[in-house]
Amino acid sequence: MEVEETKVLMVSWEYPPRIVGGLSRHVHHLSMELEKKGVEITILTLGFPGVEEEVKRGKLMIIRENEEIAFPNPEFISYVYQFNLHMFRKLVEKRVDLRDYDIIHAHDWLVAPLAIELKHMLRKPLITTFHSTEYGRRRGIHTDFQRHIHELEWYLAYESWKVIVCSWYMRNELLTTLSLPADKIYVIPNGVHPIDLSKPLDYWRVRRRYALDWEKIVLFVGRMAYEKGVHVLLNAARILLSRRWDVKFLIVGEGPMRSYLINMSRQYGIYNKVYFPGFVDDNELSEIYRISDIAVFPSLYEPFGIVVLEAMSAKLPVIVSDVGGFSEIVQSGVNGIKVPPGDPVSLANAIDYFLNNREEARRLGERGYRDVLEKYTWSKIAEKTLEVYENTIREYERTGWKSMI
Amino acid sequence: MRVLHVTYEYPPYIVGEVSYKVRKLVKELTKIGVDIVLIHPSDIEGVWYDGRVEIWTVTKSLKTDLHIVTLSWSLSMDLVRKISEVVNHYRGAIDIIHCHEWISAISGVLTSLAFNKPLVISVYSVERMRGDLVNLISMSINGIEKLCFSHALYLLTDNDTTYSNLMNMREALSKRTRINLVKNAKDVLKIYRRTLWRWKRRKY
Repeated sequence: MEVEETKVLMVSWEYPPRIVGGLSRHVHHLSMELEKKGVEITILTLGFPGVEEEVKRGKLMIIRENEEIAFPNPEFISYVYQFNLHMFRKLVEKRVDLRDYDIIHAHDWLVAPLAIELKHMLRKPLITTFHSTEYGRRRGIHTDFQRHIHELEWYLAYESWKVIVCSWYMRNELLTTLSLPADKIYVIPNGVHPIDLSKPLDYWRVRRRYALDWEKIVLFVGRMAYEKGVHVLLNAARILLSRRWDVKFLIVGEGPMRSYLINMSRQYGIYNKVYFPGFVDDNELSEIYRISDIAVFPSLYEPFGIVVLEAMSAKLPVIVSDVGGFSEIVQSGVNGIKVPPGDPVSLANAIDYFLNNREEARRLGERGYRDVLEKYTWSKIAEKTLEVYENTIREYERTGWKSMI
Repeated sequence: MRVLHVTYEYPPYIVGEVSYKVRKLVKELTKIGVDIVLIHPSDIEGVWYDGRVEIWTVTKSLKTDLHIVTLSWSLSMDLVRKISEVVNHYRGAIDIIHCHEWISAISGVLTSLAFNKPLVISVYSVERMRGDLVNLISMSINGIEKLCFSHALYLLTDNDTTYSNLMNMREALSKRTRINLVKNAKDVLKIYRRTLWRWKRRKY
């Protein structure tokens, strides 16, 4: 089958303008690049009232279910099941010929019920991209609620012809927690749209919003959640600030631990050296990347870590914890520095090293930038995804498992 | 005429009275010339015959459920899987999908849409008779009932209490859904014939 003839039904619970996490952007960029390569794609997703229900752009069609809550649900899982049913009804309502699709491509457990049902009703191969797992997010399975999600993830993985993950770390997680056979898993990293460094920037005006002229800016971007390790960064900040005073920590993002972390910085007596601007939009974020001196990501759990690619694309020297996807993206002394996870002393030393060795930091930043352009563009990610589609279709065509209707 | 029945319970898998009622109905239907294929959840997957009733069993893939609502939703994935297998086995030659109670009705809605088959649902009681419609589980079941019942061409019941409760729900259902009191297999066969007649002339 030629690429031009491939027709994919992509199912995701978020797609712009509905943005809950990174999944939305992933599906958006991937589908755009696949469409450029000639693949015909229908994205079935959720929207919200007021958003266009059906959009057609070239070979890309977006179908949104905008009124997904028809009746109350006891908890989130029942809500997920309900909107899956509504998404299918919307697809049928739009009179899309379901038999035309060659592949069903699902993203994460939130669309598992629909993806599994579509696979059997259409008798077409299902491919799933796992962006994280319940086991990894919760660091184990502790409640029946988590177990139900975990079992749904297992069922989705079991029913999938192929599974795509963003890192080798995630591959191992799926091998151990979902008991998947290794030959079913493909590792395709996430992509990033590099920060536009040619865009005009009033450097000092932007910089003075966050720090004094003589202060070096150490940047963190991410959700204020335990697994992102911001508390480790604050500990490192306390250690570093006892040695030198010319540093400002800029901690960008929102999350459940934000007020706790602000209090923590007060208790440490470093509140005037740590700035929490909260959520910032994409434009402001790219400006922040460009005026910062170092980017630090001290995560304790990280399936991939797209933020580090964004920082590298702005030529920032990066320091990451040696965990998950970070371990695969960053090579110590080549395009950044890795420190042991949860170790504030090492983190403080690494920041201090970059601040004292500006030329070395610049060199690693340049190398990181080149790596992003070579390995992590959406065009390359789409090419690899297309290979998975082609392999799957080839295998499927050799089987007798076809629709008999 | 071949009708696919989908039920949550069938002897020896007995939860309540519904299992016996379903068995009695399908056995009588086979006696008056209806081909019956029936799907129900079980501990093993396979095909067996109860007289002339062809029975396909399906196992439940998810083992941990929070309550009856998540059980019904997660079971639906497996029922859809098995319904798809049966419909493909008969190369689409299934005339009607007939579900029993709300638990199996979710899979009926999905497959009737996917395979373009008319849906009939037998209702033995409704949530407003069983629950309080105040707690979230009860409200959710009531919501699922309304959603599924609105997809059916016919709602069948064998008792007056359920019939009057269904009539009270009528405002919340779609205009195409008709509610009938049926006392035996012959009544059900009449409904099947009307279902096929309406389905051929449908404008929806």
